[in-house]
Amino acid sequence: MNRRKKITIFTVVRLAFIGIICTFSLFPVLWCLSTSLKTESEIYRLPPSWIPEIVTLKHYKEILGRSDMMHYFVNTVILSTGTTLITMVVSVLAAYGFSRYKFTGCRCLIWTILFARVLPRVSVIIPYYIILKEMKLLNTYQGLMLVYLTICLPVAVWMLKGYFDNLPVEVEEAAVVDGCSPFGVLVKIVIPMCKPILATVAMNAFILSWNEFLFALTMTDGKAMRPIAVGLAFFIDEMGVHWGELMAASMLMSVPAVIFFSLAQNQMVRGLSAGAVKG
Amino acid sequence: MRQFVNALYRPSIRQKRARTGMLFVVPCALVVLLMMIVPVVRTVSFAFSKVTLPSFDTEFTGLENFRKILAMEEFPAVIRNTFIWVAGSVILRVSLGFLAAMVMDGQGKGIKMARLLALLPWTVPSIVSANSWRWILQGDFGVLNMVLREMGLGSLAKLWLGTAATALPTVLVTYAWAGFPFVMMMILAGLQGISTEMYESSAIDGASKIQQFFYITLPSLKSVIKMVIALEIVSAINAFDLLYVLTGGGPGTSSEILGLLIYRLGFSRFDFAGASAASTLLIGTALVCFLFYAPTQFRKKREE
Amino acid sequence: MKQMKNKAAQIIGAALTGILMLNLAACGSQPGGGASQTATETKAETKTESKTEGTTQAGQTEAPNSEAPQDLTIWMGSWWEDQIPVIVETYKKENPNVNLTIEALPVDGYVDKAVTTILGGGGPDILAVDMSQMGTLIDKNLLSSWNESIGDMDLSDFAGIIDACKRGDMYYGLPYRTSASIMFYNKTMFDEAGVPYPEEGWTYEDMLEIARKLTIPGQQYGVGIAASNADPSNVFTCLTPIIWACGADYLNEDETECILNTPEAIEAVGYFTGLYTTEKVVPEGSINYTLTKDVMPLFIENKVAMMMGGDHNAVEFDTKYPDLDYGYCVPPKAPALAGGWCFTVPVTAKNPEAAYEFAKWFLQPGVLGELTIRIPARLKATEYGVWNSPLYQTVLKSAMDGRLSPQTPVWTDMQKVIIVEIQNIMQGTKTVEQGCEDMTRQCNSLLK
Repeated sequence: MNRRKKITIFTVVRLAFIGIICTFSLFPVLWCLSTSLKTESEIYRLPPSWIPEIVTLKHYKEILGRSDMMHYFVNTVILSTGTTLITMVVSVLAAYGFSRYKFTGCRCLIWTILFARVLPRVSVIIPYYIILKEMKLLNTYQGLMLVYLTICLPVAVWMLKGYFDNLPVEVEEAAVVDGCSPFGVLVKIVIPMCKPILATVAMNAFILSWNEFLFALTMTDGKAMRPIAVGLAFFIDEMGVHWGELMAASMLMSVPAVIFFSLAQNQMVRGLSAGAVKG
Repeated sequence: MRQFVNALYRPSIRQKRARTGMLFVVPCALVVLLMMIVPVVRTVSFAFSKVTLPSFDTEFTGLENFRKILAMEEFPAVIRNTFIWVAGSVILRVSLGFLAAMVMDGQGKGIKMARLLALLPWTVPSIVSANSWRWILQGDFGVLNMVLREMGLGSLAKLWLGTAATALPTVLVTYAWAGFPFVMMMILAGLQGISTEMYESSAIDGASKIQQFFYITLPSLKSVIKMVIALEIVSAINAFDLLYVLTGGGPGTSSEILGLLIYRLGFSRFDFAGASAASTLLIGTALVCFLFYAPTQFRKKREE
Repeated sequence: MKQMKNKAAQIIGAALTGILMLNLAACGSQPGGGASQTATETKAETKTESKTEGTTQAGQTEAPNSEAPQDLTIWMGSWWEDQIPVIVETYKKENPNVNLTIEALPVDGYVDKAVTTILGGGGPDILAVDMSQMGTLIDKNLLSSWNESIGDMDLSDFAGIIDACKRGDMYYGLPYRTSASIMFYNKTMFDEAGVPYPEEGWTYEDMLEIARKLTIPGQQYGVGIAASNADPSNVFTCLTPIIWACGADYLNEDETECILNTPEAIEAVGYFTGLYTTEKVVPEGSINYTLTKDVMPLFIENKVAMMMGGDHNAVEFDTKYPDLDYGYCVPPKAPALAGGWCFTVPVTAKNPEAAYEFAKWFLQPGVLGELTIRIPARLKATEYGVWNSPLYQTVLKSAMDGRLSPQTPVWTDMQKVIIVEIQNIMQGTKTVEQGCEDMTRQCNSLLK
C-alpha cells in the first residue's frame, strides 16, 4: 500500500519533469512551425499568435518546388551518411585501440586528438582550405567529409573509449584464447554490447555534418556540391530574414534528421548480459 | 627512434600487442593529426610574428602580439565572461541533460516519443535557431515577453538581451537548449550499460529508489559524466555563433567572450597575428585545464 | 623547407585520399565523387591553357570563336541570384569565348569565404565588396590595382563612393552600386496622431519633436534606431548622419586622430543616446536592435513610425506587405552617408584580364542601367532602365553628393569600440562625456 503510493509520487514528479523539458525544447520549434505556416503579412503581426489566422502551405510548396533545394538536400544526405559511416568505422577502431592496448604515446595521442576541438575556427579554416586545395579535394564530397571527420572524430573517439573502458575484458580474453583475432573480437563481441553508445555517436556525427554551415560554404563553389545548410543562408539577405521560406525549409530539413534519430534511439536498449559491466 | 625500430623487428608479446593497438588507432590519428599540424604550427608561429598578407610572410616580433591583446581595454571583461560562459554552459547542459536522461529512461512508446521531442533542438540548424531565439527574446514585442504578459507574469518580462545582467545568462540558456540533447543521449547510453541485476539484488536487500540512485546509478555514470564534462568544456570554448547573432557581445562588453574576440580579430580585422596570439592564449589555457584534468583520469585507470 | 612541406603534404594527401576512397567504396560509391574530381582536374588544365593564350593575345578585343574558352568567376551577394542568368546571357552573347560564372553567395559568411579562399590561393576573378570593407581589404594587400586597365575610362560621373576604391592615386576597384539612407515613415501612425509628414529640409530637432508626439510608451515609438554589435553597419546608418549634422566627425582631416571628444561630437552622441535614455522615443530594446531584424518588423506592424533604410527596403515593403502605408523622404538635414558595392579583383584572380574586361563592359552606362537591380553608381546609367522613378531619384539625390564613412583600415575596429561605448552610455554605466572620452582614447590607440 505504502509502496504503491510512493511510486505514484515518483511518477508524477517524473511526468512533470518530462513535461517541463519537452516544453523547453519545443517552444522555439513550435514557433518555427507556426511561422512557416503563416502568410507574409501575418508573420510579424503583433501580438504574435501561435495558431496562424490563415494557414498556408505556400512556403512549403515553394521550397519543394525549387529544384536547387532538392539538389542541396541530396548533397546533404550523401555528405551526412558518408561522414557518419566513416566516423563510426574509424572511431570504433581507434577507441578500441586506445581502450585495450597500451603503446608509447597512447595517452598523449588521445589527449591530442581531443585537443583538435579546441583550435578556433579562425586558425583552422585557411589551413583546411589549403590542404583540400593541395589534395584537389575542393568542391568534392570527399573534401567536405574529411573536414567533418576532423570535427566529429575527436568527440566520437572519446565517447567510445569511455564506454569501452567500462566493458569487462574477461569475455574478450576468452574469445582470444579460442583463437579469435583482435578484429574479430571487436566485431563479434564488443560492438554488439555497445549499441546505445554507437547510436549516440552516429547521431552526433550525423547532425554535425547535417547542419554545418561555414566550412561547407567555404569549401564548395557553385550549386553542384552545396549542402542545404548553405542553401538556408540564402533566406537571410540585405532585405532582412525571409522567415516563411527559412522556417519551412528548416522544418523540411529536420524531417530526415528526426527519422534518423527515432531509428537510432531504438538502439537505446540494455544490450548487456547480466553482470557484464563492472560496478 | 632506434628503440622503436628494434621493437618493430623483434617483437615481444607486449610489443606485438602494442603494434596491434597502433594499427587500430592509425586511421583516426592520421586524419586528425594531418588536419591539426598545419593549423597548430601556423597559429603558434603567427602568434610571435608580424604577419604580412596575402602570402603570410612572418617576421619574428616576440611577445608584441600578446602585449597588444592584453592591452585591449575589454580584455579583463572578456576573460571573465569566457569563464562564466564555459562554466555556465557546462553546468547548464550537463545538469539539464542528466535530468532529462533520468526521467526519460525506459522503453515505452510514450517515453520514446518524449525523448524524440526532447531531441528536436539538436536537429535545428544554428542559423535558424540563433535567429529564432533572437526574435523570441526581443525586448519590446518578443514572443517570450508577450507570452509572459498574457499569462499575467508581465513583471517577469525583461529586455533579455539588452541588459548587461541578463544578456550572457540568457544566451547561455539558449546554448543549453541547443546542446542538452547530446548530454541526454550520452547519459542514457551510460544508463543502458548498468546491469539490471544490480538493481534487482539491491531491491531485495531493501534499498529505496533514492538509495539505488546514489549507490548504483551515480557511481556507474561517473566516468560518462566526467567525459561529457571534458567534451562540453572543449565545445563551449569556441562556441560563439549564438552570441554573435543574439548580442554581438553587448550590451557594452557584457557578453563578449574570447572565441568571439578571436573571430573578430581574424575575420573583420584580418589581423591573423593578433587572432593567433589570442588563440594561443586560449589553447594554452585549455592545455593547463587538461593537465589538471588528465591526471585524475589516469589515477582512475591505475586503480582498476 | 617549402618543398619539403609540399612533398609531405602530397604523401599524406595521397594516403588519406586512399583511405577516403576505400571508405567511400565501402559505403556504396557515389558517382559524383570520382566524376567531380576528374572534372576539377580538367578544369585546372583548361585554366592554365587559357592563361597562356590570354597573355599572348593580350590587347586583342575581338577574339575568334575557335579560341579556347576563358574562365571568369564572379562572386556577388545572394540578392542578385535571379538577375544572374540575365547578366550571363547578355555577356555571353557579346563575348562567346568567355565562360562566365557568376555565383551568388549569402551575406552570412560572405567575407569569411572570400578572405579564406583568397588567402588560400583560390577565390574568384571578381569579388563584389561592400564599400565599408574596402579599406581593410586594400590595407591587407588582398586586391589588385586597376590603374593600368582603366586608363581610358571616363570616371567623372561615378558616385562619390568611388573614393572608397582609391588609395592615393591607385584604384583598387570600381563601384557598380550606390546607396544612401532615406527616412521611411509610417503614414498610418502619422495620420492617427495627426502629425504632418516630414518634408525635405527638416532637422534632427524636428525629428525629435515628431518622435515625441508619436510615442506611447509600451505601445508605439516615434523612431527606430539600431545599436547592436551584431550588425555594426546598421548602427552607423543611424548614427553617422547625426554626427555630421552636429558638425562633428569621427576622424580629423588626414585620418590620423579620432576627434569624438569634441563638444560637437559629444552633442551628437548625446542626442543619439538621449533618444533612448532620456527622451525614450525609441523601443526599449533598442540597445540590442538591428534595423533589418528588429526595427523593420516593428515598422511594418505600425509600432515604429520612422526608420532609416535604403531603396531595397522599399522593394521588400511593396512586394510583401501590401497593407503597409509608408512614405519616404530625405533624412534630416545633414550630409548623407553614402554606401555601395564595388567590383574588385583579388590578387589571386586567375584571369584578371578578363575580369577587367567584364567590369568595364558591365559599367558602361547603358549596360549598367539596364542590367543592374540596385541603384547604379554612374549618373549616366540612370537614364536607362527604371532608375528615374521618384524613389530612386530621392536616394540618388543624397547618394551623389553623400559623404563616406572613414576610409582608414582600422574603421571596422573603431566601429566596434564606438558601439560598445554607446551601449555603455545607453545602459547608464557611463556618462556621455566619459563614453566619448573612452572611445576616442581607444580609437586613437587603434590608429597608432
